Amino acid sequence: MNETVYRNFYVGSKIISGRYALETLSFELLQQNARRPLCLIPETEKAAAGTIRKALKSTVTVIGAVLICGRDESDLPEKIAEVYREQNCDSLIAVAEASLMYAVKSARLKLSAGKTAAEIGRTAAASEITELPPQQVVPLFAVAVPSVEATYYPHELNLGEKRILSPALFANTVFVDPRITKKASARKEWRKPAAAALMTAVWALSDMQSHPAARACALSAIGQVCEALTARSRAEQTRLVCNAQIFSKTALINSRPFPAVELLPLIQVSEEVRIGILKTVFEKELTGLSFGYADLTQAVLTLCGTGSFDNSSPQTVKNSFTNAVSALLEKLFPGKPAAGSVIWKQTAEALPSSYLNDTDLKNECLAFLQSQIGE
Amino acid sequence: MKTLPYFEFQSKVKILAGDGRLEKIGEELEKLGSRCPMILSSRTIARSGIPEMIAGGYRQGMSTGVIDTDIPADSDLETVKRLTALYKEKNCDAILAIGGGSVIDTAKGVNIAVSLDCPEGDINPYAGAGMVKQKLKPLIVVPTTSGSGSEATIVAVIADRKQSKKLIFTSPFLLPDIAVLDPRVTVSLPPLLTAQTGMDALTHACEAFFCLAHNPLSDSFALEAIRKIAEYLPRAVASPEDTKARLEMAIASNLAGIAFSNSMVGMVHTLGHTVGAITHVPHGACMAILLPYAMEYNARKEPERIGYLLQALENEKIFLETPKEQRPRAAADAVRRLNAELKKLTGGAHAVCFKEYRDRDGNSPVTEELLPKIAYEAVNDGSVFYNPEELSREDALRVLTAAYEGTQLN
Amino acid sequence: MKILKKEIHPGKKRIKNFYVSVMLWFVGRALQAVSKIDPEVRKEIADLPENCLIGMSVYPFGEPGQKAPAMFVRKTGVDRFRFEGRKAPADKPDFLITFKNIDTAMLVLTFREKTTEAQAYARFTADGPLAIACTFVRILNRTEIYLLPKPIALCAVRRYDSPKHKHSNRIRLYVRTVLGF
Repeated sequence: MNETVYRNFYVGSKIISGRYALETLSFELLQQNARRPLCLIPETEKAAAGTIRKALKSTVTVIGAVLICGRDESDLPEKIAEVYREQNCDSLIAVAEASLMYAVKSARLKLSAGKTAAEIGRTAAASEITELPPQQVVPLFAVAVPSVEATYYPHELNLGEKRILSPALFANTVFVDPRITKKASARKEWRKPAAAALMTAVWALSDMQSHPAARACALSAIGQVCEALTARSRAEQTRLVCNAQIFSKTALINSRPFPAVELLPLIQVSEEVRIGILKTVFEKELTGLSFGYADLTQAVLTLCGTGSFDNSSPQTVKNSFTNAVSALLEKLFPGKPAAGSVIWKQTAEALPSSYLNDTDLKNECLAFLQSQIGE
Repeated sequence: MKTLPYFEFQSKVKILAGDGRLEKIGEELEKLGSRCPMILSSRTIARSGIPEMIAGGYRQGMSTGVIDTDIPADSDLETVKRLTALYKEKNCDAILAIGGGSVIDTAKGVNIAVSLDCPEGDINPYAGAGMVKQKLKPLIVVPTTSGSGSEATIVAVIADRKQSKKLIFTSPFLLPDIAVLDPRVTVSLPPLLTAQTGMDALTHACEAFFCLAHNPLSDSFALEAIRKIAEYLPRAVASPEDTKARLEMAIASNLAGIAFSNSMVGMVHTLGHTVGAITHVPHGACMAILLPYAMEYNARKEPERIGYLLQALENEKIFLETPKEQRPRAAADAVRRLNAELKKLTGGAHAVCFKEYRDRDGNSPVTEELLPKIAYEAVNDGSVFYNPEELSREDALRVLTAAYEGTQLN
Repeated sequence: MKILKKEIHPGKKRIKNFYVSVMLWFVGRALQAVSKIDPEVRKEIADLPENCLIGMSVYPFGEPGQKAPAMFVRKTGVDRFRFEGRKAPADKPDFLITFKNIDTAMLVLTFREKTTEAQAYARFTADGPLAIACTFVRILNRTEIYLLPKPIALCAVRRYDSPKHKHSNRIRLYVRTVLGF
């Protein structure tokens, strides 16, 4: 029997995005029965502290404390948990810079399950801990800033050798507020996070078995990147990019993309190389997909000034879409995207030293890379 | 397509979709820390062997605490109280709801009572917006109608017959933990009901797309749902055993449910609810008849969005070949064509206008004399807020008259 | 890691609170006045349940020990509204609109955001039967058409239906609202 099975689909966080998004923070806190948050700000995004405080004025929310957290502090999770208890807090607000979010998620585990992520990792036997025992977790509210990794969003935590995956790691709500995104440290480089979101969306699309909802999220992400290109203000542009990142991550964590593509985040290669790889894989893999987004293609082509396309058959629509995304990447990184055997060689060289545990996957990827170099 | 500068989106329900997913429930229960679920359902479902399929996937030491099939068509407080006592008596630790809107709403009500320790199952103190403020016990939902979308909403409506009022509960914690979409659940749905519930889902998706609170994510969900319904609904009606079509319809209905619970519905529901309340025409039948009229009515305010639906209802080629200003009308006509096809496939049972509609005894419950009364009461339905165009009583009557006759709206 | 500050109490946005309070007060009095002037509005009020209490407020109104702008109107007699003041009467309102925060209430009450937009963006919560909400919003729309100049009123309503005797009623409405009879 030819069974149809889709992958499971899950969006763990509520997303609130737009003008005065942060002003709903107090309301959202109360929905989780929280009135006394601990506020965590990364050193690089200090300006956000003021905006959050202002947004909480004239409400019932008392901020327990504001912590400025540096990069790479080793015992940050423990310290956060300590202040949290000392100040009698009942929830966490964190500005979502990558390294801080790892610490916050870990601190949240410490407060809810009694152990930090590192401690759970030490005691667990498996390399991937997929489920933690059910519990009431400390409410966590993430404030999004554009970044290439977008780690605030998914339900995962990498501990070097091990990986924790749990719905308990999702933030309850993610806020995308233009006042925060326009001041974020990465604001001037918004094209990079945009390209990252685009890539993530495309990876997710390359999974034929993913739930239609995951594909919908990926396409929404591409749509938001397109809108960002013509946005009138920096605030709106960065907000749309943040949206795109959240949507594309949602799509990706619900998909299992083509292995070679999944490898990319693990391999230390330059941004251009990654884009080049993406382009090639995209062109190769996408031909098998059924597409229905002529207007998206049209929008991208118009933006990139490459005109219209022939929509006579599904195949040509697909091809045009592929070309359109290539054009979009070219627009985001003028003159940079490179493809060809050089990239694949670099990738193949990087692969053996990467810390990929799954040998089958590694071999499959190597085979793929070899075939690319041979071309 | 431009998106609005502000949106909120939530859908914290984990979706399991595919053939054989019923047997995965055991695994999910284990992850949620439950060993003894209470099953709420209807007699037909209990007889169809679905509870057995679910039990087939149970892990060691897991068993169904109790199966209750005595749930009224409108969820009420007495049932919630009775089930709460039963839940405690059998030491259950999770609820599994297999059914349509009323079963799911009852399950949400029981979940409030058992999780928050309401004395004698009286959930009255938690009625209202945002009164439930903590995580409840695990709730798994298996929707059986492919239409209502209540597996994706944060609302539960439970009638308090003693005080003759409806208690409305809204809280993000009312969202089920898991929704399971398995084609085996819906294969037994007869063609007419399949057509009606399918059109209900299509209406959810279309209204989610063109009504006021649309947002970038719900847009994509809605389009995906419309595409699937346009392709698979006639197939599911023509060959009820087609599991692929059944699964795709279940998914489409769920996607539409997620879309509309985040962006709300408009005048099709405004009018449809009232037609249903006064004449007892099934909800899905009202939706099917009214949808093209709502598209025409709103075309002046939202021409681009309604025209865009053509792309999902038909295909890109037709969409791009149709001149921009003709697209909204063409989209409405596409829905009409779908209705006509369903009418043919159900041997004329699926009505395309109110004049044609016949109930089981062959009577026509909707008469021309009733229309002014329906129009008068309709504008008090909350969904009217989210309709792009204002809908006065006169407008409502105009739309209803056209939908009664089956003529285009000018 | 550095603790920047401990125990930050929310404080007040006094100017915004003042403005919103005044606007709500004005709306409440205007509703009372319009029920004496406009026959269409009276027809709508007649459909409401006996003694029906309707409120508009801004979060955290209703939280213990918190002050926030609000206004209440009650149906009296067959088809009139009475302004009940800015504090919550003893009985629970039949229908209550609550803006999620003072800033979004400002956006709407300064007409920078259309009412339909505010609704689409879920700027407020509504607690109570929606039938009352629908009637109330229709009355509000009618009142706004009287109170506001057309370009601004267009922000607040989806369709501008000009009532009979708009200009003379407008003057009467303003006089009654300000003087409170």
